[in-house]
Amino acid sequence: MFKNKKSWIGIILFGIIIGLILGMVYRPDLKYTGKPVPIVYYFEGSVNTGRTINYALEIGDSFRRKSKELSSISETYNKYSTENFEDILKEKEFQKVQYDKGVIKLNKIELIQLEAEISDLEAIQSYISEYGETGITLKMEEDYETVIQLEKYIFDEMHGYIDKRVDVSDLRTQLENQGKELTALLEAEEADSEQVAALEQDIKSIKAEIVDREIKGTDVKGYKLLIKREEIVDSIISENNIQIDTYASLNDFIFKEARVSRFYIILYMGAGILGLLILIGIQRLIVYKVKTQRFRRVRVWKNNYFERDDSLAFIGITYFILLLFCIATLYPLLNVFSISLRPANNLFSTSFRIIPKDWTFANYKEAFVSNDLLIWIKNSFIVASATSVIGVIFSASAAYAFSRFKFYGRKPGMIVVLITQMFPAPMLLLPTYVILYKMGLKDRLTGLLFPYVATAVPFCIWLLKGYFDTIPRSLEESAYIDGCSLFNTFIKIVLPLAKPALAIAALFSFMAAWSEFIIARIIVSQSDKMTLPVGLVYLQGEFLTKWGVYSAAALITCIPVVLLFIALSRFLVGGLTLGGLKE
Amino acid sequence: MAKVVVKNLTKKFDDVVAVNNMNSIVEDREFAVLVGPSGCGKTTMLRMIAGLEEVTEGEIYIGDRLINNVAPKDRDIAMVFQNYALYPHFNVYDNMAFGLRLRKTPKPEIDKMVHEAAKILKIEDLLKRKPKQLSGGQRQRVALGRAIVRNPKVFLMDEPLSNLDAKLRVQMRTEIVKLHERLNATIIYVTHDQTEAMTMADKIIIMKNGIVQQTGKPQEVYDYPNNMFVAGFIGSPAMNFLYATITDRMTLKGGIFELNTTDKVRKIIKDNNLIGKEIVIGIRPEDLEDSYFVQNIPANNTITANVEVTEPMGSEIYVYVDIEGVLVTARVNPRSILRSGGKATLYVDINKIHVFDKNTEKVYI
Repeated sequence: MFKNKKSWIGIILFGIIIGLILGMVYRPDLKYTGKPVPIVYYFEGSVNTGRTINYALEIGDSFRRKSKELSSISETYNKYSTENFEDILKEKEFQKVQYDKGVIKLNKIELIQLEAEISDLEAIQSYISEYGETGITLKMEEDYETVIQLEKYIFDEMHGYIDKRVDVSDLRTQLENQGKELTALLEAEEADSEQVAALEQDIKSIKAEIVDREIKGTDVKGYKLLIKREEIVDSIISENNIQIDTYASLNDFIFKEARVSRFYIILYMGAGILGLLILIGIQRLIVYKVKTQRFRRVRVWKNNYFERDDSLAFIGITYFILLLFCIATLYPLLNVFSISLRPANNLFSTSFRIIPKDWTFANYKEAFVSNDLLIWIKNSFIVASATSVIGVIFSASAAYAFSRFKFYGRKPGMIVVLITQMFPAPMLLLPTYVILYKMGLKDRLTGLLFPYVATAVPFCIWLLKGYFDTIPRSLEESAYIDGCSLFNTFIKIVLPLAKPALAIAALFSFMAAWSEFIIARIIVSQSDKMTLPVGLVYLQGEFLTKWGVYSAAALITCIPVVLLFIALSRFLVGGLTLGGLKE
Repeated sequence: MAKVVVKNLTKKFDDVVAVNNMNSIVEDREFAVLVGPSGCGKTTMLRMIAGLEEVTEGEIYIGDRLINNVAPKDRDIAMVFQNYALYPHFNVYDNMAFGLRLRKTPKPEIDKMVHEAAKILKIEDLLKRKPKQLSGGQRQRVALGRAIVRNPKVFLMDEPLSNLDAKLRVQMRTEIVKLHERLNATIIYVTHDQTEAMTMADKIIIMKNGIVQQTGKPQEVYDYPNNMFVAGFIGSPAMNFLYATITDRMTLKGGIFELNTTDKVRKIIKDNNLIGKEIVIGIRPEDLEDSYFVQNIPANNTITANVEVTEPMGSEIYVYVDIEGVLVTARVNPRSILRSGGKATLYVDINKIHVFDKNTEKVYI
């Protein structure tokens, strides 16, 4: 069906290009008008819905926004307090209209200021209509206070949990003391009943506190903490009857208000089918021309993707599936890319543009400037390259022995090597940690090397052994007769021939070490010893994550691996041993 | 240059005996061919001489030196492999120079030697190429070049021509023979092709199941095979074997034929007291002729049988006749009008027939 591997690469690249073009061409901005929207909005919606773990954080964030908004309103109020708000609003609105018409010119900052002032004034108007000229200041201050308090409350609550993680030994000593006091009082027989009751009450409350701390202490670990946050925030919101335009409610809104237009669906499908037909047409034409040898000189097209007698349906389905996979692969990546270019901390955007209108490299700059990113890159690079070099040296020599020599325990050895790969990594975390701790390698990059090399070597041994098996022994025998020692043969004959496999082994161990997180997370805690993945997570704040910076850093993380992959890709094709022997 | 002596050599792979108590001498400057069907131990034998397999028992000498425990690189041998075993990542020059470099030969000398070898093999213009850019024949030449460039005492060749097409094989055959004459080297050559053995060898060593069946000059082996195996293995088309009983009248009687015997045969029958016993007659195809072309045929010197197939070769015709269920090949005069389906009367040259023991397969004559 497909003639060779190059065809597959070609067809995938082709699909990616088509996917990119489609994505670029039509990414309209979403408007919440209740009107029918294209199906892509649903796609985006479904990607973003679900119980997101960041719900609580977003809400915390929105409090901050609310307070900012309120302070802005009060600023505007103070600015124009001597004048009639209605007139000023009209004036500003007139300015806006004139700007829209193009009569007056404003730069971006002025425009934003103008728009902000208009919205502030509108808010003031609605305050006035509700509370009257006199009540407004009071009301606004009150609102502001509430929001600030709520923000603080949530913040404190969170920290309370974290603080309460501390041990309960102090409480226990307190409890003991109280208990002693109580027995002393009772023994003295001159006990004041009130005093005893108060003491008993104290003991009760300390006990409750201990239980509380212990429960919360287990609660706040990891994921549960987030769930807890969500619960707390939910309860605060319902208690205080606050309306917050969080992301989640926004998403609900999209689903309630937006309906999928049949027209758009048909349009999309039609365009897709048309595009496929055009592609197939071109394809057929090329096949025809190649087969009739009119196109002979254009060698690129000689490796055709399909055979001449493949049906249109088959070709169509092939392209469709490939496109589908392209989208599934590219969408998350493009999203990260898009986020990294957004000016502020916007994880979620209503825009579908890949490159936002107000794109900026500020996030990249910040990632480098205000974090230890460069140190992390250096650390990751040291660890990953050392892992790949050491791993390849070890595994190549082991694999050669496994491949060429008969020795006691060869087969069991290979199986044991394979078995080590079957344990889930987290299972090995504790022993790894203990070993490295006792070796004094905690918080040191050398400490990371041990588990990394250990996990990379078994895979590489199997990979290389498989490859060495394919290298004919007669080459080595020929070298022996030519005058090589065993070691010389290995270095001069076997290793050069195994370059493709060595490259793959090196690449895999490099990538594994480069992106490894779990072990690095437990071994390394100092910022200057972190590798990139740990650093990335470190970028996620407790309550606020700078998603733009995070995305930028994530993209920076993947660049070296991509470059390495491209550099080594020629080895992946292999075929180096061709010709040395008669097949 | 040196002779190779193998004494009581045995090689066992676990329980399998690959080479069994082998004794052989390959003289200095001799072209010896080890021949036998696949799995007969000839390659194992060669690899033991090369030092690629350990010797289980026995001794191998190159020259006067016992080399059982000498590393391959110190044996001063060169080997040409069946699959050439050229280093794919070196070009032709480096392939040839590799062994010299390892032996720390000075550079100008390497250059001289490689070019000399390349000149002999006519591969001078290929020196910069990688093995994969060469054709089968060229690769073969490079493999030979790599062997001769070091000027070793003994050349070992492991079926070097088996991967070439028929025409090239014939061509390379003569070239290797010429090379041998030119180099005056000891060559041990392994092949399963008896034609190669016959055409190239000074000495043929025929092996079966790890045991040497016969050693000798090609014509010697052809004319006087030791046993049925050698008789059947050497020669193409192969020798015909017919079962017969020796009658009181000293004739050889099969189901549909009765052949007279010569005095020589009679003497052997008497000596071995074979009268009345069953024996196997071996007749080479060229000793059977269409009786039409033979004059004065004595009685009882012909066999008449049904012709199964005829294969005209131009210079001769192979006639396959069915004698008691055995397909017998005859090389007859190309003018013969024998055709399949008909009857053929074949004249047997009784001076040249062989007689074998039915049970031991040993030859009587």
